[in-house]
Amino acid sequence: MKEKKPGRIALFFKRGKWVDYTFLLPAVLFIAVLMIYPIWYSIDMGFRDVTLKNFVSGDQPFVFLKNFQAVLSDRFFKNALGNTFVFVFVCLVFHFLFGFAFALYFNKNFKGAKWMRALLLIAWMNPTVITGTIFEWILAGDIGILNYMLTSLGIIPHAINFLSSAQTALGSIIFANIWVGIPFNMIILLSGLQGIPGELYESAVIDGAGAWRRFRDITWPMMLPTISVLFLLGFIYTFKVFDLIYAMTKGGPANSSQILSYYSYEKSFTMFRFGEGAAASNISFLIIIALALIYVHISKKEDVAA
Amino acid sequence: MTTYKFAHRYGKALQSLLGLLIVLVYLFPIYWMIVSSLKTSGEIFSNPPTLFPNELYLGNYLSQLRNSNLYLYLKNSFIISVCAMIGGVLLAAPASYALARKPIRGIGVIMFLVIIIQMVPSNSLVLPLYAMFSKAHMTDSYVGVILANITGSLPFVLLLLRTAFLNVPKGLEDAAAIDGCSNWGTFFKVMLPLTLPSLLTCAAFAFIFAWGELLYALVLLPNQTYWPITLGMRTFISQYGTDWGGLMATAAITSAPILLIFIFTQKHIVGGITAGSVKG
Repeated sequence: MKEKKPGRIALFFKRGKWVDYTFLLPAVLFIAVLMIYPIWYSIDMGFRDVTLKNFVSGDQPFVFLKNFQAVLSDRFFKNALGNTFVFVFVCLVFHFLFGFAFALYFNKNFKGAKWMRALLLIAWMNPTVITGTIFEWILAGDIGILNYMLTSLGIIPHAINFLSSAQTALGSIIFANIWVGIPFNMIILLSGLQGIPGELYESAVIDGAGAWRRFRDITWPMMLPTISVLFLLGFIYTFKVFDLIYAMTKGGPANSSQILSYYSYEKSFTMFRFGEGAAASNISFLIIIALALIYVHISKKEDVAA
Repeated sequence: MTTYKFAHRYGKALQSLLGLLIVLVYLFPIYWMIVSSLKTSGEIFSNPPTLFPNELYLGNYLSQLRNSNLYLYLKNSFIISVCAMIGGVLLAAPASYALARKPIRGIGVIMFLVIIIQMVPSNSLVLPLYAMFSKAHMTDSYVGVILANITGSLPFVLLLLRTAFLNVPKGLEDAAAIDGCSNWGTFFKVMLPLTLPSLLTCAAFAFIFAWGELLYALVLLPNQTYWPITLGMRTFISQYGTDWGGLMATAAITSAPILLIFIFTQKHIVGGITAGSVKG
């Protein structure tokens, strides 16, 4: 890989190396203008007083941390932050449990296993707004199928308005989001399972290890890197859920199902407090970037070759 | 020995059966959407609810198809999704080729940025994009929302295609170069045809992403004439109160392209998800 370097810049043009960079140019320009610059724009906006009046033109005074103070002392922000962590935590736990169970089951070598696990992915591919609308119907207060099943099984005495009651709204969204995320977890975990060399199990069987011991001593430790990556990705994906909330509750009733992504949307686009909205979304952004950095760190360690 | 074989064979069949049962129970919401869309409004309110419609009633679909707004929304969704798909793949393909095969300086930094930027949620980008597009008079236009949609799929497509280009045998490019193919010529004539399956997978991903996207449309398109179906179908709720049959018919119509694309590309998509998100 050693290269001699007589006159780098001259060589760059003479050998036509610049042509290599023309391949990159369009995408790099796009990312710079429509992704990196907006991130900068958003950070900047978080430090300015931006309202409907000065949004498009006019002076946007620099107010430093005022927006952040306003947001951090807002009890609705605290409420949304608390909900976000409940939402993310519960979703991740169930995503993982069901995802792993499904992965272990559909990793078995039976007829139809392949297309069955592909079919399960439909839940994940379907537009989330549509999924939200379907769950709205399933959970409907009077005639929803879930209420029918629960009341006829005697689990609840009478129908519950799942989406319009503050006790159940967040839980309902969690329920729907668990459903959406399971297949993704299953697929990632499956790829991990398939990466475990079969000989390990074969020799374990010869040594007389039972199913549980094989799981505990081979599957689990071999899966740990995949699992840690999955939890990080899952956190990021769950943290930014918006469509389900928009479709099912719009954050209500009484902000009971509001999470950060919806909070910052409302600040900006229903209250038109753009500065505070930017500050709120920058806080989420910070959390996500921190996790993304950990993700890159872990996945680099995991496979150096890629 | 024979009893063992017997148990083994039926054990496998039992496993398939249980697998099928899991799939059926799990996908019940999708089934419920389709079944509800095929019920008369009388049957939809019936107690107990019917698990299978008494008769296959197409009235919900017919009445939705008489709604001219539905066509408008579907047309918009197609325009936005197809353009975002083409744009995303066109931008990503040459770049991911260079990232896979060319001695680019700073390649580590670029890859790092792409992976990080893939994680940035649309919630964080929507406000600044709205501000930028407002200033450029690009809200209420296809262009703005298409560009926004490309931001959603570009990093993912870049990573996925790079893996595909990495897997093309090295010798082929050299052979093309000897035959006098230029840099871009090699790319178009040799590399693109060789990675066609991956290109199609990426196109499918980009389309599916844009078709299901909501937030950018919600913010960047105040005017109904540009709304995609994901945004437009929500108006049918207030419009019809609780016409669940009609709503589920619209939901089924909206899901149909995704389900169709998925059925034809599922093998590649399953691989793509793991390649794009874990390996990076």
